Amino acid sequence: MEEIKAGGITFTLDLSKPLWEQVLHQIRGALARSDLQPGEKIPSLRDLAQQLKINPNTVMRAYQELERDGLTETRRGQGTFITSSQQKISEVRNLLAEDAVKAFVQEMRVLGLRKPEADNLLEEAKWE
Amino acid sequence: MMAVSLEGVTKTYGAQRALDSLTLGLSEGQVTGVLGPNGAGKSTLFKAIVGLVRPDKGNIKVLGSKPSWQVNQQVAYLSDQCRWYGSHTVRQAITYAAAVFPLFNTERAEKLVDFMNLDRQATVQTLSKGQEARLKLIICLARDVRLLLLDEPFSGIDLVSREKIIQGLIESFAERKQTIVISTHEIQQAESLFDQVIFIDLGQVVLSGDAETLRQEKGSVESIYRGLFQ
Amino acid sequence: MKEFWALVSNTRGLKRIKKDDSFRSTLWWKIYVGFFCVLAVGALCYGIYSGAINPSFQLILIPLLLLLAFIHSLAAIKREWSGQTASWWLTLPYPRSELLLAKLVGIYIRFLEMVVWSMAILILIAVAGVLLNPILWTTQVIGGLTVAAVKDYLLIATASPLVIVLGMLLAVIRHSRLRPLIPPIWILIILLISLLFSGKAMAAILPPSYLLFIRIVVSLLLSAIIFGVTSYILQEQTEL
Repeated sequence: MEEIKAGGITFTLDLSKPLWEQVLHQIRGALARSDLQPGEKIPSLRDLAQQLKINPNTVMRAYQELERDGLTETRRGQGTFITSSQQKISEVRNLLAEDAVKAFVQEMRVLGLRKPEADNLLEEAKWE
Repeated sequence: MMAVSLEGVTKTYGAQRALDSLTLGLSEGQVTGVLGPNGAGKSTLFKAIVGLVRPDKGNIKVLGSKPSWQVNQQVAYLSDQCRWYGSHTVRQAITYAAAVFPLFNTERAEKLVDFMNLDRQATVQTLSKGQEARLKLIICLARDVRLLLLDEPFSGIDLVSREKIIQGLIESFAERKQTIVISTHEIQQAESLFDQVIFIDLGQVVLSGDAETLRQEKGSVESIYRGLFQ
Repeated sequence: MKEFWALVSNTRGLKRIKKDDSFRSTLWWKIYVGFFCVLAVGALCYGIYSGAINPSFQLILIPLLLLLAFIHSLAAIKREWSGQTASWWLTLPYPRSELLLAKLVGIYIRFLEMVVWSMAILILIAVAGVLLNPILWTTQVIGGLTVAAVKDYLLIATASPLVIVLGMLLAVIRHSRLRPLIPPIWILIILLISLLFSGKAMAAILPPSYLLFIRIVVSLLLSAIIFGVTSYILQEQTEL
């Protein structure tokens, strides 16, 4: 499926994998990348389902997980909001960073490189 | 909870078995996609649920009872080969539907007419196929019923109408607990709507399950369909 | 209750779907039709004037109404299938007998409209006759005609329920599993109609005033039975 922008987040949904997980991951990613600000309101369940053109139950599952992780809170009558807890956001960021590192390490191993060689590459890598 | 359950249902037309000892359940409050090639028995299944067709063998339970006109108070059925009354205007169609269908929500119908961009003065006869499809769907969606059966609602419909119909469905489903059953060939467009999927061929269930689980295990619903039926 | 009258009104109000309606609403079409009407009225007047149309001719019209009623009744049911609306109709949350009853009432109201129209036409022709050809259309002739017309209309009153219900029966059978039975049903219909209209046998036994009463009762009874059969067939023997 093509890219869809909804509530400040850019979603790309792949029909060959569970959709709720993708919605969850992509909201988390937006949070970690500061595409979503603390305390910001995200689209309601219905609105997001409409914009993504998917079953509301799918969105609900993702939203429930976000709520469980403490990344969002639903205020009755007002909607769903990103947590204002900086700590939670940092946690997510770290989690995703760790995942990225794990993926990097895995990729290096698949290519047959060892830690010293990988370290060298990291030293020389450009950050700007 | 099963909104509809079939047990060993068989329906034969002459030499052909449209339904062959079919056993399945349609979960309440979920959107179920019924998929299969032409002649698989999908339409016959729908007709058996609303009582347009009587099985030769087996049991059908719709919302806890046998199919009957009484049960149909809670069932909205959109046939794959139906038209609306051509001499009606859009407005007359809504008025007529409000008079003959119990649980018809005129307010929602009017909102949907605006949302679907239909001209209230236009006669149904002058509507394009896509516009007529939108009207037929409006009439089904405006009914506050527990079970909604849509047999090929997207067939032969232009893209814009299809999108409007999908939006209308999502809105309706988000608003209230309803069991929706859709059969379609436009799998790629519709599969993101499904909670459950049932694949049917030659009157029998070939595969069924939760859509997301199937995606996890086998990939997109469309690819599963191709794998099964090509 | 309101759904019943909505169904009735839908039966009455449904028009046959014409393939291309756009031409018929154009000015040209209206001009042609208007022209044709003027021509027809002119021809009619000339016919009356010249005596080609004599007073008893119009009495053919009245039995024609029965034929029209039968055809209309058939069409009103058939329309659900030809218009592909049968799936809406048969899944309505009402017993099929009620659906049929609403159709019957709608058809009958249409029939009564046709009757009123026919009366208006007959009166107009009689007036035209008196004006254009007073030699032929004398008061005596008109008096005789009125008596004959009243008789015929009474006949129609008795026969119409039966005819209409038979039309519905045939249409329903046509779309049911009993379709192969249509030829023998036709024979039955012809027998029934001839029975109803064979006044000679009955007139020998009963005085005429009873005859009308008996006819009406028999007709209504038969109609009710046939309606019941039609309901049963629609309920049990019809699939889509």
